[in-house]
Amino acid sequence: MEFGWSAEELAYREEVQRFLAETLPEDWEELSKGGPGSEAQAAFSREFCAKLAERGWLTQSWPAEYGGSDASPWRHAIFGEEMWGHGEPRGPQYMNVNWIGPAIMKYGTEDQKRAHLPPISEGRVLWCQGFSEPEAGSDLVALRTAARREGDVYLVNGSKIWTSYANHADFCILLVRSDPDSKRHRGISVLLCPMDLPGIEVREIPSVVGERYFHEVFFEDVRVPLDCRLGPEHEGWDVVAYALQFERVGAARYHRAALILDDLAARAKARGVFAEPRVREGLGRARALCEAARLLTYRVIDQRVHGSPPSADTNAARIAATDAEGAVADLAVEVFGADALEYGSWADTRFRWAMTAGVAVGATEVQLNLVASRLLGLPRE
Amino acid sequence: MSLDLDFDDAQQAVAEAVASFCAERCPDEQIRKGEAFSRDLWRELAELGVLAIGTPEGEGGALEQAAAFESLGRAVFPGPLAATVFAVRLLDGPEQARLAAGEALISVGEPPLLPFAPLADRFVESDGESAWLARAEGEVLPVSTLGGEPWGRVRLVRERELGDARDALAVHDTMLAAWIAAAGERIVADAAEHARARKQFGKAIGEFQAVAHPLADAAMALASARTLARRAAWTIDRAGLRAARRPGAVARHAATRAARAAAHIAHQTFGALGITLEGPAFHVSRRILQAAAQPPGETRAAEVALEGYALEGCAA
Ligand SMILES: Cc1cc2nc3c(=O)[nH]c(=O)nc-3n(C[C@H](O)[C@H](O)[C@H](O)COP(=O)(O)OP(=O)(O)OC[C@H]3O[C@@H](n4cnc5c(N)ncnc54)[C@H](O)[C@@H]3O)c2cc1C
Repeated sequence: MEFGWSAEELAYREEVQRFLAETLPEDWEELSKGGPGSEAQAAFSREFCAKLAERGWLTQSWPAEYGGSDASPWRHAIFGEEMWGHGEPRGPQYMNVNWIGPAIMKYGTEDQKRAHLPPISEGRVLWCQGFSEPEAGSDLVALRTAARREGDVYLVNGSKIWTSYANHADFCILLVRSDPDSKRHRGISVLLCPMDLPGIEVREIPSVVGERYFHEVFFEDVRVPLDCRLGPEHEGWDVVAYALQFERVGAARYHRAALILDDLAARAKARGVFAEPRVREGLGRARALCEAARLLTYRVIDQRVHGSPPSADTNAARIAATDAEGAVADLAVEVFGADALEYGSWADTRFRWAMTAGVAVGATEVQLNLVASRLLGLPRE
Repeated sequence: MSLDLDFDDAQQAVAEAVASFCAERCPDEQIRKGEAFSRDLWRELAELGVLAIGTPEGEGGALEQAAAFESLGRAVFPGPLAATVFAVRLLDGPEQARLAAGEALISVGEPPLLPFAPLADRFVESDGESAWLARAEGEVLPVSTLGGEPWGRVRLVRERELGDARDALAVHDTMLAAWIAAAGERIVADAAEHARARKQFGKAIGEFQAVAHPLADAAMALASARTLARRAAWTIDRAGLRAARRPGAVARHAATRAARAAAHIAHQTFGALGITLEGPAFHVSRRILQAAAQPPGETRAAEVALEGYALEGCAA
């Protein structure tokens, strides 16, 4: 058992921090106010990811044959923590690196690998994830967007919703129902769909988490070449399940929450309210939640290092991170009162993001169901 | 006579009149766009007499006012509502009359960040214990807020001491509690409606106890907070403002917490839809969050609630 980082890992974290201090512009806080979907941050992400690529950091967790350096999941975690801790300057590109690339490595044809992996590892392509539909949210396999074979294309019709960053994306990893007679998990295929095909319309849905974040994407007779399909036809669910294994840990929300908490404590001191029992209790509680979430996440990484299959511990880690983030956001409002409500202020931004934490990548309630059934063996509702 | 926890006919009539005023003049579409507040709307609200209660010209008592504030809360009616009833109780003469008539708009809080500052004609600086009439010096810097209310940064110059603010705060807290508990009940009702209609996994999501139980919890906490607000209003009418300080604080504390929790639960129920700006939840939840942190006195409510505890105990 070892709960401490190695000297090498500590040095790596410092190096990443130094790099960020040098690379992020002075007005980064201001620049990132509009959120990762904003014009400013999306543009910045291309420039920034190219720099990460130069250093060999962007896709370091990838195998050497695809331009990575087989970095350990721990090193990848440190990197992810520092990125998310600094407001995710990679913008949407974390998805490419974390799971879209690995899915292409596993299921892609040689042509697909050649076409997609270098742009990802060089940091010059933006992807979006076309999974959710109006009628298929938590129950993703209720998806209906249809892909009908016609000659050498799939004719795609339907719509996706809540698609983050769709307006900037060059490609979409798109889930479609390729077998019209199928139900649930069977008959689904994955398409690596270029976003500039005729018949695709992207509409923004204004949301609390900043500009140009959420979108609805409509597909009307979109002709997607057959060779854009990733993996076997009708068996796309396995591709998704594989890809999402890499997403086990997700964004390092716990790390950001912990950093914000440190800041909150400093601000509470500056305001002279640090000694108030309610503030101290709130800070203590939030800190315990942040540390718990961090360790539960590390447990998941540890399992990956040891090659164990994904388990309900992943769900537990996510729930814990959501709780930690929520506690920190609530505390910000509690400590700052009215000042926390200023739009774009530090506390306000936290609060808005925390609002989404219990819904994005699987609602907390659904995660709890999985903990109950997988970890405790309870019957399903 | 034994206990009777319902509004009487007159109070009920106020609630209904205000509710239909809101439906007509401040419909949901406008609230969703964040374009509901205007000086005209504010004057029209004042014409219903809602803000004048407690002034020489005012009709009705705190229970009528609470009935009105419940209807306003359910409609998430905009404007410095609790701030105005607070200032109305602190001021007198023409200044009071202008506020009660909706002719002047008040901003209450602690500088520099003040609610409705860019629109305000008068300022009251208060931490909930003392209060001063004040004027803005120099420019008011507009600040947009989570709740969509126009706030601003101001330098205030105190003009006149208004004395002990705690009696006025009792009214403020009571009405804020009535408003926010009703807003909370509104968002829970909307979420319940969504939970009945929205189907996933072949059933209404409301069939999942993970959805149903938190909504039920929220409904209970809000019902009790609303009842506490009514009791505080009753205390104002029966025993006066001083006696209502603690019941007011208790109601506020319970209502703000219950409403914030309700907003959170409603958002869980709505899923991603709740996070959209013009969707079914945010126009209510943002106002709940803002009202819950409203100055003056937010952070003191719990302590005021304990005042006199050593002497009387909770059973008193
Ligand atoms: C910030 C953010 C970014 C997103 N980005 C993307 C993206 O890029 N691409 C994409 O495809 N999607 C994206 N989504 C969508 C996300 O995947 C869905 O919001 C999520 O799957 C939930 O679906 P829903 O919103 O339709 O909620 P619903 O499925 O309608 O669920 C609503 C609520 O019902 C309850 N519930 C549902 N099922 C159960 C159950 N079985 N047991 C108990 N309770 C239940 C939960 O409380 C849930 O919150 C994003 C969402 C957010 C918030």
